[in-house]
Amino acid sequence: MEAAVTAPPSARDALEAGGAPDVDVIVIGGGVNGTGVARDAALRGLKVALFERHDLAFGASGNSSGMIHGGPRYLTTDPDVTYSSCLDSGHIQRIAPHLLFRIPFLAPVFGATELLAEATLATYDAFFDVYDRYQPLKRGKPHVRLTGAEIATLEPGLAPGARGGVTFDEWGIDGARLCVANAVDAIEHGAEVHVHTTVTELLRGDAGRVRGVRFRHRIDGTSGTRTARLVVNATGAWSPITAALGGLPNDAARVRPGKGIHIFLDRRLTNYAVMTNAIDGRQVFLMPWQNVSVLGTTDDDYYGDLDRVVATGDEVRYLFEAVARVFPSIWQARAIGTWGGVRPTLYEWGPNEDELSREHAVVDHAAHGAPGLYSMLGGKLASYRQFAEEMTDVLARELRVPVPCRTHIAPLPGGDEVVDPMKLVVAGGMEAVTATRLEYRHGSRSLRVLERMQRDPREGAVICPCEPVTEAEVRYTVAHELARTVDDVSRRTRLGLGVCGGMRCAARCGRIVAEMTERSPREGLQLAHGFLAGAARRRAAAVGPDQARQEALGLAALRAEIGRPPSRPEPDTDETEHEAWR
Amino acid sequence: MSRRVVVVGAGIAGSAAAFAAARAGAEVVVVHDRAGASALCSGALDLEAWDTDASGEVAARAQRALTDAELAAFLTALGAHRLGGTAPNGVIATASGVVRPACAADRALLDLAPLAGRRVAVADIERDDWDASLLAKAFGASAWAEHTGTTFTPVFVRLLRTGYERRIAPYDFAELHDDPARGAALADALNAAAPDVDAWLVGPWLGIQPDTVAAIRARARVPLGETTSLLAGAAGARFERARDRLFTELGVEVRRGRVGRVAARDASWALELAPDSDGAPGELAASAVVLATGGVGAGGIVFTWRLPGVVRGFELPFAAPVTLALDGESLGGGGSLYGPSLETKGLGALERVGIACDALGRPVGKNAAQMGLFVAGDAVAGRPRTMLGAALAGLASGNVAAGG
Repeated sequence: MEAAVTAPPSARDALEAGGAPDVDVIVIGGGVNGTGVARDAALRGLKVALFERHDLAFGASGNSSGMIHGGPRYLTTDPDVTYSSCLDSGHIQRIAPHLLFRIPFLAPVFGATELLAEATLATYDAFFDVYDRYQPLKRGKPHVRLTGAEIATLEPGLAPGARGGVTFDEWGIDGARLCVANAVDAIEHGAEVHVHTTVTELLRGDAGRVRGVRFRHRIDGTSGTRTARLVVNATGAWSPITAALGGLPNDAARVRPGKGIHIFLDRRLTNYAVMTNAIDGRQVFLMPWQNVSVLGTTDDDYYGDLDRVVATGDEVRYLFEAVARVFPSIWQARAIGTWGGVRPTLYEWGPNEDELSREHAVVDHAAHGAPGLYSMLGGKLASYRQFAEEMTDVLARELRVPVPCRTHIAPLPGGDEVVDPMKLVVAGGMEAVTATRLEYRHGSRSLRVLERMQRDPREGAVICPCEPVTEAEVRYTVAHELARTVDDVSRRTRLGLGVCGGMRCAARCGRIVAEMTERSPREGLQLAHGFLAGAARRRAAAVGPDQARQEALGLAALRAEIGRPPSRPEPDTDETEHEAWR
Repeated sequence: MSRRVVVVGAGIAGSAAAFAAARAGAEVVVVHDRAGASALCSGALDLEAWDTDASGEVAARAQRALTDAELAAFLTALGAHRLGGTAPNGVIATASGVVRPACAADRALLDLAPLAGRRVAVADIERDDWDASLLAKAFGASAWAEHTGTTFTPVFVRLLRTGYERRIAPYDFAELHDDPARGAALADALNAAAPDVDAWLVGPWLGIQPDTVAAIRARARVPLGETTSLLAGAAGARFERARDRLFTELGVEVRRGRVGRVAARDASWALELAPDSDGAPGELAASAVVLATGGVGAGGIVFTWRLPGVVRGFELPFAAPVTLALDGESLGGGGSLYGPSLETKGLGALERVGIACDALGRPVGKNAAQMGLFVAGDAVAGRPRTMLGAALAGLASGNVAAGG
């Protein structure tokens, strides 16, 4: 770099000093915060490049409870947070109506005595009376107080003896779809999004200014550099690792990583999301979520490998024991998978995990001698849009782009128009459940998937019968949603996450992905193998009686069909997991 | 009076045991219930894992096994399978797009070995579970095809009569071709679609009844055969039918139902049938018993990860004087409230667990009262889960059980 500058360098100075950077903003991280910022910045006319080491929604965003909740936990301490959470939940409903689905919660009360139960119920009642005032912001329904008899009728699987309870209303969402929608919209507004591309170094310029990144593509091995006026570190739990790539001190982007796991069971077991307490008093839930039930969640400080977060048997059993107290037949239920993610909670020494704030903060690393770099720390799925707006406001101010945020009113891809799934049934010859799932995931963009089927009716083939997922949708995710592996397709479509564990679809999906990305059939089989081995590893901790038989049959079938992977995978992929499977 | 051998389980191990015992002159009763692992098989019969054979040792051992006259006699009698084609292995195509060796296979599968260097057409039909064009590409890119110069080409064939047939279960689609008219139409459609290819590779569609494949082949102009089946496809169903026919031919008595208890009584054995069985309840007496009840996949061992007040993990679904073992250690006790941990032992533990046995298939660790109790097939702890291995073990135990 030539000209030395004495004043603190601004983005403009850097531009004048070193020629035009490639883009205005580089975003590192393809979770909901990273894709949210990329979208917001692109909508404001900024030129954006996003780098994601794995896949969109690989980390906490794709492994959360899948809720856009209104933040009732802040009601007593910080009602402003509840207000803004509910408001933003309303915004997300407006921009992506297809992705949200109502989840009514039920908190049954099993008091030791009638009097104790009555006291608890009265507290709940008063609490939710207040929460009800915020519900209209997110189209939520007011809470209802139920008697023990009503609960027994509405939720017959519950243990007998509930003395009463309350219901309250929240919204579920597919976090991976939310990230994909944000990334796609960013791309459609001129952003570049590089998946499976890891940042290996933050480039520093004059006066320590962060001026770009060096990256390496983890599938094809190519590498390069990209320069920008500003760089955003939106890597969640990986934030300190990312900051260290620029030589920043350890505590510059520190988070307190909290692992949370979920177990999914093969069907909807309850009508309501049932809240209960674990042995240590923590709140856990059994929740109907799309076509499965979800058991969650834990919150434990995590010091393991962020690239391979997996539920352990210890965590699984903790949740089963907790839910079994109110839903005894849970031991007979069939767990078909688990997922685990690591929350990037704001760093704080001392409090228990559950007491940590879900607040977020933008850190300007000028304070650490690295101007031009910002880190997005903390946050939660439900407030991603707001957080992205705050971050982009900072970027826009710094870059002197006086364009206001539009992410709360501009629909996400697929959210502009409601499509009746029955239209897809009639026009595409799909079965109703196939059409409903397709419409859920893609909103109005399901019409584009439909177009593929109309061009080539063979693409209407249901290749994952469990979920179900059509070939057209798989091809659409590769062509338009950056899917590059079977895992990526699965994250976007839930392919292979049903009861058969991908046995019937993984190899075929691998062939399709390989063909579309100009890789050999052998590489396609490797992709399938990687997915199957990873899914088996995630299931292992939660296998119960019925699933055990399925697993053993699946091992035999896959051994007969595929055998070992065709060759050893590259060391730097996520697919070196065969030991757990064999 | 001849010895009475009761075989529990009618997968390939139980069938082999019944075959051997009946041939040795014993009176044989087979007790079985529901579909096990053999009835859900792919159609490929391995002796050992086919994918670990770098040195050719597996193939050499397989070659020796295949010269075993009794195994050949059993498979011939069963009539559903063909031993490896050219020495020592046949070559088959799987439904997942892999070309692989196989010691033996369902007769309906296409043996690719004699077709090396030829042109194989892959029937392209509009079934949702079948993607001929990408499968052909995958087969063509296999090491075997590249080495031998064999080509695989998708060729469209009009087979489906209704849109409904596009999505029915694989088993049901195969069964359609048991109708002689449909079977003939299939052969005719292939003949018409590409008259100049050397062979046809189709999906697992060639009927469930034992004679359907031969009838279709007789009408087809060139060799014709299937890929493997995924779980619960045609190959497993054909095994069941061939087995039932074999039992009839051998004069084996078949009791449908589940066994509740196997216990020694004097110098013989008593089997209680479980009260919920379909067959007549009550007891069976036997001079010798062969447990061919399968592993976890077959339902012969169940995984109960937590029952109130009881920590068992793996257990047999019936009472018998045997012990279960995993990786050389007998089960029971242990360090987990929930039984063995699959996350540390790997899901493969589900295939390694079984009844602790000596090399002859006799349950270990009990007294002489157990003479006459044998275990064969996937029920044996630590045995590789292969069909031919199970058949050999079944033949051996059937022979000894009948001999007294």
